Amino acid sequence: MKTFPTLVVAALLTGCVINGEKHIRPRDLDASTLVNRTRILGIRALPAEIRPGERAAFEALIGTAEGEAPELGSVWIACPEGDDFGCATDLGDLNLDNATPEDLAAIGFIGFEPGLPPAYAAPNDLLDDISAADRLEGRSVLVQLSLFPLELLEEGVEEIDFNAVEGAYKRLVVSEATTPNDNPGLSAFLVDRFAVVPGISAVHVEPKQSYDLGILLQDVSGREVYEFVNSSGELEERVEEPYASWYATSGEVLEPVTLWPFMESTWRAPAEAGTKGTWYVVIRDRRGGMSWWTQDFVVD
Amino acid sequence: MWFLLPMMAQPAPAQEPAPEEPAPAELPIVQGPQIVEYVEAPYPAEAQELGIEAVVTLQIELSAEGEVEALEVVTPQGHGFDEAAVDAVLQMVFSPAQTAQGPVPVVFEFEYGFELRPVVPLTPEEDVPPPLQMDGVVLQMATRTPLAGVSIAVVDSDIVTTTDEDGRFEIRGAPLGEVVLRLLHTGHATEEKRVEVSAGEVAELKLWLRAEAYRDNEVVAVYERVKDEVTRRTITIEEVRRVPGTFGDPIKVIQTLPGAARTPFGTGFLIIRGADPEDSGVYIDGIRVPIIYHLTGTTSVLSPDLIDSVDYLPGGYSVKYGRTMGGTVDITTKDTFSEDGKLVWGTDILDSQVYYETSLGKNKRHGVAVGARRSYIDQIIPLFLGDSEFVLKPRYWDYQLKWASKFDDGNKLSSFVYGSDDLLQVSTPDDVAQGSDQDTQGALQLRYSSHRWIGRWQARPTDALRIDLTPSIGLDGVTSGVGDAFTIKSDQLVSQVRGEMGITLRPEIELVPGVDLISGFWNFDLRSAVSFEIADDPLAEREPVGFDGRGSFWSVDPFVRLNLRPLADSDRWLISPGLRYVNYALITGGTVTGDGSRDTAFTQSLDPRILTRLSVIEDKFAVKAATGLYHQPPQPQEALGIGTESTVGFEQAWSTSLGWEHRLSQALHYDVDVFYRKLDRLVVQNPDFTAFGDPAFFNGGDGRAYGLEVIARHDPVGRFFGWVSYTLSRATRRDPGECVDEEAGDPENRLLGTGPCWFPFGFDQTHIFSAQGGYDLPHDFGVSAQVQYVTGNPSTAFNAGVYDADSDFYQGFRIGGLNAGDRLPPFFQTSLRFDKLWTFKRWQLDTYVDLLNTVRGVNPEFTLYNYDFTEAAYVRGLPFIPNIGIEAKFHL
Repeated sequence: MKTFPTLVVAALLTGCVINGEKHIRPRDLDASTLVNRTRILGIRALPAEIRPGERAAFEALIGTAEGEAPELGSVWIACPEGDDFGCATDLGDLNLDNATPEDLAAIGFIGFEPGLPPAYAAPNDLLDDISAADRLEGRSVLVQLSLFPLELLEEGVEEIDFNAVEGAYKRLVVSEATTPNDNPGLSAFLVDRFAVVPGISAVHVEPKQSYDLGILLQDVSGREVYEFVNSSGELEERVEEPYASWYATSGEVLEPVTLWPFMESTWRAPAEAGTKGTWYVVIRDRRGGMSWWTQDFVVD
Repeated sequence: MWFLLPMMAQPAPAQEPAPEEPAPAELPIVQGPQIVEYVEAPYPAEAQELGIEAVVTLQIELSAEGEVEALEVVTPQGHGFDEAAVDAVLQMVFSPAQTAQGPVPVVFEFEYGFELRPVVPLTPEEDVPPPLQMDGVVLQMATRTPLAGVSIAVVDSDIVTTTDEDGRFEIRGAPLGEVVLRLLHTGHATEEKRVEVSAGEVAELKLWLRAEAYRDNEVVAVYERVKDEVTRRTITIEEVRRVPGTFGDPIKVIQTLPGAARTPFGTGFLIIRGADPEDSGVYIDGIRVPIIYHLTGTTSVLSPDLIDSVDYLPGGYSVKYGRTMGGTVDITTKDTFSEDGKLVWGTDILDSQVYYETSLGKNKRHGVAVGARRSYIDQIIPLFLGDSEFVLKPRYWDYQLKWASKFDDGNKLSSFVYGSDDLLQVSTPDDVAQGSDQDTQGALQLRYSSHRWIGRWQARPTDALRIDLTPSIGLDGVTSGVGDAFTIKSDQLVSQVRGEMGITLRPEIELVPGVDLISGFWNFDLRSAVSFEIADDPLAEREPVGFDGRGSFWSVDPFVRLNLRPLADSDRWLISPGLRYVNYALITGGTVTGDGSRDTAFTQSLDPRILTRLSVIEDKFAVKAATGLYHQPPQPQEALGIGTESTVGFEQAWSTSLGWEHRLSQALHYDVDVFYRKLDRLVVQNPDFTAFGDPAFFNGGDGRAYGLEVIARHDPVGRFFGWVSYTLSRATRRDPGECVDEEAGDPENRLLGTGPCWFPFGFDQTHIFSAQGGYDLPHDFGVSAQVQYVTGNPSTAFNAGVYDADSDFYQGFRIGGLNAGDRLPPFFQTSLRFDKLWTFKRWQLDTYVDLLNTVRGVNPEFTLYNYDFTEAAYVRGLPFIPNIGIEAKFHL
């Protein structure tokens, strides 16, 4: 019977984890679909693809937590994509207070917001060093975005808390393609297969109910047909296969990513009545083109 | 033991021998000598006339063959008793004493008793022996072994008899009606049997005796190498099977021994003295094999019942083993099988296995064994999780078939076929996207198969010459894929012949030349939806790519070593210098070469080594040392020149160790080892690789490992067994290219990629502590436990993330700090095991409950980050697992 106490102790300790409560579990990590802070959800170039000598503007989709409306500033930098990651900028002797947009662009700065909307002009000779066949595919220009609360600047650049800076990058394709890319055209946002009326302020939902969110692509521009010269030199006609990324400021998105032709995801409303929120969906065409749609909701 | 019987001129049965002092042996005695054939001594006439009884104590020297070599009367009694006892004992037959190594000579005391019984005058009618009334045999339960020397008494009468060497007995003169037979035998429970005695009838009886303990402490030596290596670590099969968490696998127990690091999720990798898993070699009967564990890492591919011994050599091994820089595990399968046949069937939550062995032919010189196992956890998991989830389904099976023969001239011949097949599949629901990549949707699958034939011929033409020849041929295949877009298939056919001779030039000098001949053919086919050059560019247009390769390889590795034993006692001091020539030729063809031409890559090296072991105080204290070079060819995928010629050569390690062994008592001993290993020319990825045609790998890395290993052990003497193992070590690596000296650099302002010169090896575990032991309880219950504490693995914690808008994911970064400068929390777990052995007449049933991770720490295996690397959580190791199993053993 001496073993009985031992067995009792063993049974009581069975499955016991020491210090288990001090560490969060993987299931407790924030989901990528939850927008509970200021985040960059997408960056697009307008137009999506340019030729040498042409100019592209940029805009970003910024998601914010419900109830937050921070004043944000941004810095945009661009450089041809190279072996090293990121764009290296050297201010040299440049005086930021007197610099012109052209001076800034020369060292890679292509925009400051508020103030200077981001835009990039591709040099005429950007593709001169590659073969004619490769010029059809072109090369990428790396565009970096740093987003931060404007209040950070009040302390001076040297005191900036970089944990408060949100960083992102996007590739701008510069090519001589016969069928240059366009950003996907979107025609409607759907809730349970019904198109949301344009201009409506918010969609009303029931607490804890599940809804099918969908996005409708335009017939032609939503899914482009384009030409591609393969490695054998043959011309192929290809069709884009876009995919959608879904986000919400509250509730639960059950399918974070959906692939063509499944352009809808299931979302479960939060339990608390009166909750206001926003849905975001970003469509990527896998060729650098990007579009998005935002829609507010309110839980009745 | 004696019987107090009425006076009769017959000596009473002698008492069972009690070993007083075992002969000098390296290991404790696990089974004492037994009486096989008892001889009754005639009662000395003088003593009978005087009415004197006596007990004569004799000291017997018994040889390892069970023969009485010397006899001495310790307590003389006179009156002819001594001479009568001596004469009787000299004619008796004993079974020898046994240690874990086998039969050993022993000296023990034996008491031979003489007891007077009343003399009954014989009448003419009583000259005729009484009629036979009972005729039978006494067998041991479960094993069905006939028991000799069992004393059978008819209760309430003066009738006593003993069984002969075949366990048979006869009883005459018992009273009619119901009688009670009482059976007595050393090491067995007393048994009583009621028998009806009828006039004119002979009762045929089969009586059973139950042994007091059925624990399998048989002489199956595990982890022992006594001939020509310096490591001596012996653990019995019974201990192995009772260590929790090892699933009864002798090979898995290696991870509880010094020098072996803890592996993720308890898998079966061998990480020995800071070496990568692929740097250690596994051998079966001297033949190098690619894998020894199933992919789940829970069990090996061999049935434990077929394993005779497992040699675990963490370092300092001779030139017999080549092409490895890490440790070596050499598994020897049995070539002697149960004489009467044994069938074992076992099952637990993971799989079910069956095994059968028997001996055949005249004098049982031939033997055959067959085994098989199949998992069913892949069928059970979906029952709980359904098909709407991401479900991991491991499925495996294995088989073994062995034939072994021994001949009159001492030669041995065997043929062994074995194989395994593993499938790891992650099935995915059809209506849920797995990430945004359209080409990686679908089930993830990994399949591995391996089949081998190993023959062996061992001969000893003369006393000075022994030959050992082992040919083998094997077929290995790997298939891996994600859905339909990415697949890789690889096969190889490999033949290996190992030949070794032992030539005794002088009693103290043995020359051992040998050779390993390895050759084979290989092929692979790789299909991918995207080429590797643009795999990290989310906007690049994709074109499916594929390339294949085929070719052959060969090597001829001769080796020679000297076994010098300069002392008269040849087992006390061994010095073994050796030299091994290692070479490797790889012929590559197919589209992988780029232009379809055939490339040939050839590399070679020389491995000088020396090792020594000196028994300073015989069987008490020994010192050992070893040093030498170890070369290892690159892995197949590293050796291929993808689109270019291969330029990758051998990796190299210089390894040195020093240690001692100390036996404190018959049961207690400990070993201490100190080691240092310097690694050079390690194969690393080429940082300048940009496109097909650039070398992907080159010999540019180096490393070092050093440490202290201690094991303290209580041998399985009595009811307790156990050992404690501790390793203190450090293992580091250095990659080529830009690095910052740790002392001169500023670690706070460096991005990942320009890290320190030396960084911890991925499995660098500073402290590895393991304690396991078991205790035999009465009535064949048993309990055992294991405690482990291991330092956490090095890790690099991300503290920043940048969003890639085209790919919709964050790239993690480390700003400041050192590469692999963090550590996961330490690993801690305890496991318990309870077992009960049920014994029946013809079979035994072993039932057990293995409670894995009864108490455990957080035990993170790695860190999982949220989408933007702002939060982190640990992915923990195995949870609490109650494993219930049964094993039935039939003796046929």
